[in-house]
Amino acid sequence: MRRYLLLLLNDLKLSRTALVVHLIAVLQPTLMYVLMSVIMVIPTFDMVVVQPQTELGGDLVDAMEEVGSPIGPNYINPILITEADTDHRQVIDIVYLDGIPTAYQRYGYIDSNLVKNLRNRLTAALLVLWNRELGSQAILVNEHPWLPQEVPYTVYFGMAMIPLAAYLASALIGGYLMAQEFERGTILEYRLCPTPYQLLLAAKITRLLLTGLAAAAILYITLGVVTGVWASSTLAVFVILLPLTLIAACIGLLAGLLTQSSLPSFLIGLASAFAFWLMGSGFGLAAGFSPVFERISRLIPNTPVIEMLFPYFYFDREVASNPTIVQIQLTGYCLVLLILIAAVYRRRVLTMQR
Amino acid sequence: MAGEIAIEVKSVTRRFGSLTAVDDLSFEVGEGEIFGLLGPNGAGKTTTINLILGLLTVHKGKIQVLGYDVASQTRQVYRRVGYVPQETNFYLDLSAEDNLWHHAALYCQDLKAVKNRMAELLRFTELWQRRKDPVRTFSGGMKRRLALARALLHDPDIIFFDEPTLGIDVQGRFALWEHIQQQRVDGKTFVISTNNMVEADTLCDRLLIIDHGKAITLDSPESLKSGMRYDVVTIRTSLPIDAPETLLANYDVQNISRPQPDELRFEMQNAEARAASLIKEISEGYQLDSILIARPSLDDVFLYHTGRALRE
Repeated sequence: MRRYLLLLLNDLKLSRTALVVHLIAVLQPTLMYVLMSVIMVIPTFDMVVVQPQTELGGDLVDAMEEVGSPIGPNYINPILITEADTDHRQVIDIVYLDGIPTAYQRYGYIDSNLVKNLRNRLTAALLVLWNRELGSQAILVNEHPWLPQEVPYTVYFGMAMIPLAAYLASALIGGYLMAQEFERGTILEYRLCPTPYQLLLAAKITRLLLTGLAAAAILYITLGVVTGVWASSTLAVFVILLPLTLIAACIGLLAGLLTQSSLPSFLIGLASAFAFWLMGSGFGLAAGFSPVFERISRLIPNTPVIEMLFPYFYFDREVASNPTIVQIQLTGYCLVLLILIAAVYRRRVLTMQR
Repeated sequence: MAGEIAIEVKSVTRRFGSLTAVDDLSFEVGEGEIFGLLGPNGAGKTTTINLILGLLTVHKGKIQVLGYDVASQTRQVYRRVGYVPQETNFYLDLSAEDNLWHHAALYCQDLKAVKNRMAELLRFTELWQRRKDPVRTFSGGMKRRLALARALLHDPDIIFFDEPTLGIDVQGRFALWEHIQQQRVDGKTFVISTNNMVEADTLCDRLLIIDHGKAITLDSPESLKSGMRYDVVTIRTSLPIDAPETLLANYDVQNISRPQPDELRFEMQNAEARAASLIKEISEGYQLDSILIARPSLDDVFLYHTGRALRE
C-alpha cells in the first residue's frame, strides 16, 4: 500500500512536467461552459411586439411578462414597437380578425431553433392569457409537461459537459504523460523495475481518475454557481462519472503507449473527448437526432452516463432506457479496456525486443 | 578476475536482420570488479549491455547475472542491478530528490530506509545542496552524478554504466571516476561501456575489446599494453630524413609515419636497449634534436586491435 501511495504521489508530481497541458485539460470544459452560457444560452428572450390597439392585446403583453423561468428572469421580454418599425425579423402583432383576437407571428426561417423558441414562448403566453381571461367558457387547456419545471439550457448544457470534463482531463493527460515517458527515456525506469506492472498501472490510472474527477468537480461547482442548480446527490454524480473517467484513462494511456509521441496522444485524447461528447447524447436528449445517430450514440460511453446523471439534476426524472443494461455496458467497457491496457503495456514496455 | 562470478556471458549471438551485432561473445565478470567494454562506435557495446539487462532477446547462447538466468528470472535480476544509460533520462522539471523518490517507488524493497540512503547518496555525489533544485538547472556532470546516485539507490550489486563521462568536463570526469572507485571499495561491481581510453585505463580492472560484435581481446589495461611488445619511438631531426625505411632497415621497425616534416614516428621492439645504437646511426647523417621512447598507450592497443578505419 505504501508503495502504491508513493507511486501515486510521484505520478501526481509529474503534473509539473506538463503544466500547460494540465491547465488545458482540466479547465477547458469549464471555460467553454462559462463562455457558452454567456454568449449562446439566453434564458430571457427579447420579443418584438407591435403596440397592441385592443384590450386583449394589452392582456397578452402582460401575460408575456408573467411567463417566467425557473432560474428567475422572465422568459419573454416584450419590446413594444409601432407598425412603422420594419427592421425586425421576429414580430408579433395582435389584431382582430373577423371579431376574434388573433396573434400573428411573423418570422424568417433563419434559425429554426429560434423560431421554435419563439413559438413555444408565444404559446406559453397565450395559454396563460387563455386560462386567465376565458377560462372554461372557451377552451380549457391542460398542460402535461414531461418535466415538472422548465429546464434552463444552461443547466442541461452544463450537465452534459460534466462527463466531457472528466473524460477530457483523464484521456488527454493520460496520453500525453505516457507518451512523454517514451520521449524523455524515463520509460526505461519502468522497463527495468522489479515492481509488478499491475501496481504501476493502478497508480497511473488512479492518478488519472483523480485528475478527471477534479476537472468534473470544477465544472460542477461552476454550473451550480452560474445557475443555482445543484444535483440532488453530489456523491451519486461522481460515482456515475467514475467508469467513464476510467475508460478515458485507459484510452489516453493506450494512445500514449501506441504512438509514443506526445502530440498525437494529445490530439487523440482531445478528438475522442469531443467526438464522444457530441455523439454521446451531449445534445441527443435535447434535440432528437436520426435513428442511426441514436443507435451509434448508444454505443458511446457518455450516453449512459448522461442518462444516469439526468435524474439527479432534473427532478428525479428517470431517462435511462434500462439502467441494468447501462451498468453492464459500462462495466464491460471498463473490463475490456483494462485487459487491453495491461496487454499493450506488457507488449510495449516489458517485452524484450525480439 | 576477482571473487565470484557476477556475470557470465556464454556464446551469445544477437542479430538485427542481416547484421550480426553480437557474434558468439563469451566473457565473465567477477564480483567487485570494474569491467570495461571497449570498442569503436557500433562495435556492439550497448547491445551487449542491453542483452545482459534483458532488454533484447538473445538469439543464441546464455547469460547469467548473479546466478540468475536473464531470460527467465528477469525480476530477480532487476532487483540486483542498476543501470545508467548513455542518454541521461530524468524528469527535468522535478527536483533531484523527487527523481530519486520516483526511482525508490519503482525499485527499493525497503521504503523506510530510502530517506537515509538518499541523503547518503546525495552527499556522496556532492549534490546535497542542490537536491531541491529542478534537474533542468544541472550541468552535464551533475546529471551523470545524479544518475549514478539513482542507480545506487536500491543498493544493487552490479551497476551498468554506459559511457559514464561522455560530454563531461575534466573536473566532472575525475569526480565521477572517484565515486565509482569508492563504490567498488564497498563491493559493487561495475560494467562500463566506453570508448574513452583514459577512462578505461584509469577505471577498469579488465577490459574487453570488442569489434563487429566479436571479442577481440580481454585483459587488464597493463597487460594489454605490455602485450604489445614494442615501444613507440619519436625522433626529431633538423632536416627531414630522406629514406627512413633504409635508415631503419636493421631495426625491425613497423608503422613508420611522419607527423611533422622533421618528425618521424615508428614502432620498435625493445627500443630502450637499442636506443644508443639508433642514435649513433641517425647522427651520422642528420643532426638529431630529440628522441622520445614511449610505452604503448591504450590508444595504441585499441588501434592495433580495431584498425584505423573510420566507424559510423
